[in-house]
Formats: sequence, structure tokens, C-alpha cells
Amino acid sequence: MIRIENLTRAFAVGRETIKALDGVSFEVQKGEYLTVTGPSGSGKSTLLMTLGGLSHPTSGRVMFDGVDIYRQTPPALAQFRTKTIGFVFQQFHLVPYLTAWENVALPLMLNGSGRGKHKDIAVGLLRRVDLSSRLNHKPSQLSVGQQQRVAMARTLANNPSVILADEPTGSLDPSLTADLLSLLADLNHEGKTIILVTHSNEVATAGDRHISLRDGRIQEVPGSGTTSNLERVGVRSS
Amino acid sequence: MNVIKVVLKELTERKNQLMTSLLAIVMGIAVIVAIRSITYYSEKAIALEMDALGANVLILPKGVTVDDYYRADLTDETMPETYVDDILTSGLQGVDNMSPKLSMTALVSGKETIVTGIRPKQEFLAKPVWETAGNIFETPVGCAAPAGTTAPKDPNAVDRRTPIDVLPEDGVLLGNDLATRLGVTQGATLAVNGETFQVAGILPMSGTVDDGRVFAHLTVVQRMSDRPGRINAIEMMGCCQEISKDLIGGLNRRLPDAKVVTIKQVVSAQQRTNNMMRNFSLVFLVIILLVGGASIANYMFANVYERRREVGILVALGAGRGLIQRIFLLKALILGVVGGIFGYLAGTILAVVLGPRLAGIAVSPRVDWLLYSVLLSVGLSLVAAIVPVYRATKLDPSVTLQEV
Repeated sequence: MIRIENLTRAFAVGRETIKALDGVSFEVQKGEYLTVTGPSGSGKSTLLMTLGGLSHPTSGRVMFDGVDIYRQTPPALAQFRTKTIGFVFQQFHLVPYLTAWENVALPLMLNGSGRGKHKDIAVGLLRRVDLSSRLNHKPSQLSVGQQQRVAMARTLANNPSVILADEPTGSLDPSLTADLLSLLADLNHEGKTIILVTHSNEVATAGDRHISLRDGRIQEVPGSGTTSNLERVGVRSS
Repeated sequence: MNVIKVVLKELTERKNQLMTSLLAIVMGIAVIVAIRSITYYSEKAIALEMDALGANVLILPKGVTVDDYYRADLTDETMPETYVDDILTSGLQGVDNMSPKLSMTALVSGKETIVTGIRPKQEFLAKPVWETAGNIFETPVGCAAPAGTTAPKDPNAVDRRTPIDVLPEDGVLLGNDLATRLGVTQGATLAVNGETFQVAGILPMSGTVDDGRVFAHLTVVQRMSDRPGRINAIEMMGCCQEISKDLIGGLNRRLPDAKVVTIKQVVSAQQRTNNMMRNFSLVFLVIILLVGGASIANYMFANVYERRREVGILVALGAGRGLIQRIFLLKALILGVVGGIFGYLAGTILAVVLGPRLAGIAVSPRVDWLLYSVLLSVGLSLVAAIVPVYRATKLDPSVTLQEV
């Protein structure tokens, strides 16, 4: 279970301090599919980065199975990211000079697992996303949809229990969006916890529930967002 | 998949950028190697020229004054000839040649003349100006002479070598001025204190007191002056570096009953020239290290900036700070090794080609400098990479991954 407690993340911009997250608290159950919406600058991506161990909160705690991840040593936090978290980005963030299978094998190399079998594992994952014919293509030689699928295969390389998706459909057309959401739904059915950030209310309906952020604070969720519903799923607005 | 493969792929991804940064390292190392090679052989050539100025150390009996260097051997005080062997067996570094001598005044064709006993071969080694007398001496091949820089011998002089090289006991060499005054030529006979000698050769004009002397075999002069086994001067050619490193002190300790003096002008000129060459190459080395280091640092800064999003990806995928450090330091290491090897090759070719044209000296490749070139290049690359690498580890992935 993931529990966010009174999370604040402030950035200094010149002499000003901007709070990207301002006292956010909520819980996500294991195997849950949560969507987070909000306008640009509302703190969605910062929330995801902080959840994934990439951005130390200014205050508050991020608890995974009762452990405050930011109280771990840097190597332990890196291990946590490798083994527990899988990121999906809007811009895919593939390494441009590596081929499709090498991009997918990157987490395996970092994790030190599957030594000698990196290519076999990567090929298996690329086959799952229907890209077995593009193993040796570099990102620049792939279409947008293919790049997103390579990124998904890379996300799954270390078999993470939590997938954090930051606007994963932002660069995709409706058909590719549907494919990706279908894949995420499959992964959720396999037991993976999914937290998906999107500015699209339509995509937001893909999850079990969704929360909305505005100015770094949790707002009422339209549709499913009655106070009783929020409380039921563990969301508390500060 | 491993880190080295990833780094090599990244380096070869942008070949133009790689070549530009490599070129900067290669050029830096090449200039260092070229200048060092040329100055190394220049130093050697200059040292050789300095040796040609002649003896620069004089060993005299303790009580002798050196008010007049050129007449310092005209004294009744003597010291044992075994001092020569003592010095030779002492293990002192920097002794290039020694010429022991004993002088006496004698009647030569009825005129009072100085007769100096010498060991012919060693005397010629110490008197480069006598070279044209028959080239009987070898060009100095001691510490100062690099391979390949020995002056070619005059083939016409070969037939004159034998009589002078093995100066017979009844043979003498005449100073040029004295020969003119006496009107004698090579092969003539000469009476010295009533003994008859044959003139084995006329020495070329040296512009010193030697021009008015008779030179006979040391053993002959020792016999004629009734001072067997004694000498009253040793002219020595010492390597200038060793002179400054306590060769004189070593001689003084070894020969407590002798006085060891240096010809200051000669020695200081040698030292000054060598120091100048060394400082010259040091200044270049420092400048190039700074320029080369700045170039590598600039490349690394640019590389970290361009790769900041990839750093973010790697961190997001689970890379720790240590791995990020290793990746960028590995790049610097590879650049350093490749830059060092190619810089050495380019610098050596430059030195071999330009050395004879610019400095008039022959330059040979120094294979042992390849290791130094690589070490220097790698050290420079790693030091220049420290700050950029530190910055890479401090990149905030939550910021770099959100940059458009």
C-alpha cells in the first residue's frame, strides 16, 4: 500500500518559492488503478516524480508498505526505483543511441539482473508489445506509437509492482491511446498498481478512481468525487 | 549490455562532436610531445656543443693558486697520477673525460720552452680545438651525446690518426706558434734537454698557451723531470648537470689533497642554457595543460548538459549517483586513452619531421613517452571531468525529465 502524508514540494524560482505540492495526502491500495488530473502546473508530474523516489519532498512522507522511501540511503532508494517502480513518460524518454532491445534491456543492466540474458528478456517484452520486428531499430527509426510501446516494454523489464505513467497518451492519436490504455488495464488486471497522470478527463475514466490537483492541492473529483467517495478510497484534501 | 557498451555507443553516436573533442586532446598532447621531443634533443645537442668548449673542471695540487688558469699547471707541486684511477673507480657520475698532465721547463732547440706530458688520446678528447690535427680523438660520447648526433669524421684524417693516437715515446707534438717560430714541420727532429725527438704532428692554432708548448708522452716528461708517477694537473670534462649536482663535492671528498676548481663561465653557460631549455618546455607544458584541460572540461560540461535528460532517465530506471559518475568518468577515461595514443603519434611525427627543419637537430621517436602521454592525457581528462561529473550527479531528474 502507498500512503502519501501531508506532502509538500517547493521550488525556488528566483526569489520566489513556488509550492508545486501543498499538503497532499492520500492512499493507494495495492493493485489499484488511480488517475490524477489537473491543469498544467497543478503539480501532477511533481506528484508522480515524488511518488517514484525522484524528487525529495520539502516536507511530508511517501510510505510504501510502511517504509518512508526518502528516509532510505541513496543506494537503497535507487534499488527501490529499479525493483518497485516503472515509469512511463509522455515523451517516452528512450535513449536515442540505443536500439529498441537495448533500451528495454537498460533497466536489467542497472538492476544487475538477468546477466547474459538481457537480449532474450528484452526480445520477449518487445514481442509482448508486438514489436519483435523492430529489435535493432533506434528510436528515431520508429513511429511515435512504436516508441511508446518500446517505452512500455522498458517499463516492464524489471517487473515493477507499481507503474507511474506521466501523460502517457499525450503524444498519441486516439487509436494508439486506446491501445496503451488497454495494455495498462491488462497490467492492472495482472495485479500491478497503476497511477496515471493525465490532463484528459476521458483518459482519467480508465482508472478505478481518480483525483484532481489544482495549485498543488487535491480538489473534489468530478463525477466520482463526492466527499464520501473520496473518503472511501482514502483521499483527504488538506 | 553493460556500462562500457552504453558509453561507447554514446561516444560514437555523435561522431563530429567526438572528433572535435578528441582533436582538442590529440592536439594538446601532440604539441607537448613534439615540443618535449625537440627540446630533449636540443638539450642534448647543446650539451654536445658545450662539451666542445673543452674541459670545465681543473684538479690541481692543494697548494696551487689558480690566478692564471692557463698557467696553473706550471708549478713544482705535484700529486699522484693514481688520482686519475681513483676518480675512474669512484663511481662518480658526470666524468666525461680526464687528461692528466705534467709540465716542466726545458731547452728546446736552445730556447726555454714549456714541455707538457700528456696521455695523447685523453688530451685530444679534452681539446676539441685540436680536432683538425687529425681527428684522432673521438667526439665526446659521454653523458651529453645523444645517439645519432655524433659528428661525422673527416675521412682524409684517418691516415694521420695512427702516429698521434699512439704517440711514441720519442715523438712530440708542437704548438702551432712554436712550430712556426722554430721553423720545424712534421717529421723533423727536435732536441729537448739534449734528447732527440721526432715531431709527430703540428697542432692547429688554439689561441691559448698550448700554441707555444711542446707536448710529449706523460711518462717521458715524468722521466725527464725526475717525477715518476706524478702529475701537476688533471683537466676534466664534467657534465654540467652533474657539476651542479655535487660532482665537485664528490671529487673534493674523494681527493682530499687536491684542489678542484671549475671554469665558472663555461659551467654556468652550460647550466644556463640547459635551464632555459627546461623552463621553455615547462612553460609550454603548463600552457598546454591549461588549454587542453579547459577544452576537455568544456566538452564534458557540454556533454553533461546535452545528456541531462538521459541522466534523468537512468536515475528514473534505478541508476545511483555512483553509476552516473562511472559513466561520465569512463567517457573521460576513453577520451584520455585514445587522445594520449594519437597525441603521442602525432607529436612524434611532428617532432621527427620538424625537428631537423626548425631546430636543425635529428629527433628520434621515444617509445617510452607513449606511456607518459597516455598517463598525462588520462590524468588531464579525469581532472577536467571532475566538476562536470559532479554536476551530472547533482542533476534533478524530476526537472530534466519534465523539460520539453
